[in-house]
Amino acid sequence: MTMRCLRKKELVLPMLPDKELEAGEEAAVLADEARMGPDRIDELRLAVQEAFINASEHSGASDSLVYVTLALYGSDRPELVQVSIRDTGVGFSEPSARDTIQRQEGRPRKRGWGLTLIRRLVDEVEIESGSHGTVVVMRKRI
Amino acid sequence: MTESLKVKVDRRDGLAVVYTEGYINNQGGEEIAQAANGLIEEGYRTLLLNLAGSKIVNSIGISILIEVLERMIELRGRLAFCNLTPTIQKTFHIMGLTQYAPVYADEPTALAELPSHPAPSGS
Repeated sequence: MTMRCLRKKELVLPMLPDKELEAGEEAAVLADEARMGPDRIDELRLAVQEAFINASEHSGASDSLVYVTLALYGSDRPELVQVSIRDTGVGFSEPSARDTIQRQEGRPRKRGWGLTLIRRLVDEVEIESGSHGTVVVMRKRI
Repeated sequence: MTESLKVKVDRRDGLAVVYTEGYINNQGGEEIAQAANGLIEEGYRTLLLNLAGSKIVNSIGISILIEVLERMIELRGRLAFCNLTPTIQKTFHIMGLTQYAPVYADEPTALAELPSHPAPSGS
């Protein structure tokens, strides 16, 4: 049976500290309404936070906004939560290189875990990145 | 904006327990690192991080915990964790912490199983 969108919500959040928590909480509320298990909800929440942080820290978007789309898919009942995190920045090709920052003491801090975590915490990830921005689409089954 | 992470330290015989409350992000990670580095300077070589009060983390905060772990390994000390949520434990596993730092279900189990180092003089 073909799945269809049962519910959709769109948010636009500023790239400000801790706003990733708001995006993660919105995803958690939707997943809870769809009766996803609590541990899987926590995994989805963290994946959404990481995608939001990546957009905030690395996109260089001139509008300083993150566009979040949350959706429930299923046939007669919810089977899948989909969360898209989109920015209008410059895109990326080498996440591991861009994620290395310098500590104050000059020793490189080990960063670049965001995409690795996202891929391990949700069931499907699609990333499209170009000169007009990046969109990370995450799907997790109920 | 969330409140900043709160850190409390309990100095025991031969080890110190660090309790956290709140979001372990970059600022939270730095708070923990500051507390841990202070304890290391005092001479503690076994630290237990009790994360019962922290249900949400991010990869930046955990990367700072990795730095604390690396320092403890360099000093031949031990950093351990307890009271992790399943998602935080999974995240630690993905990021490699559990390869070098033991994770215990709760504090009594950790205290029973952690090797005892001599208490720092004057503690």
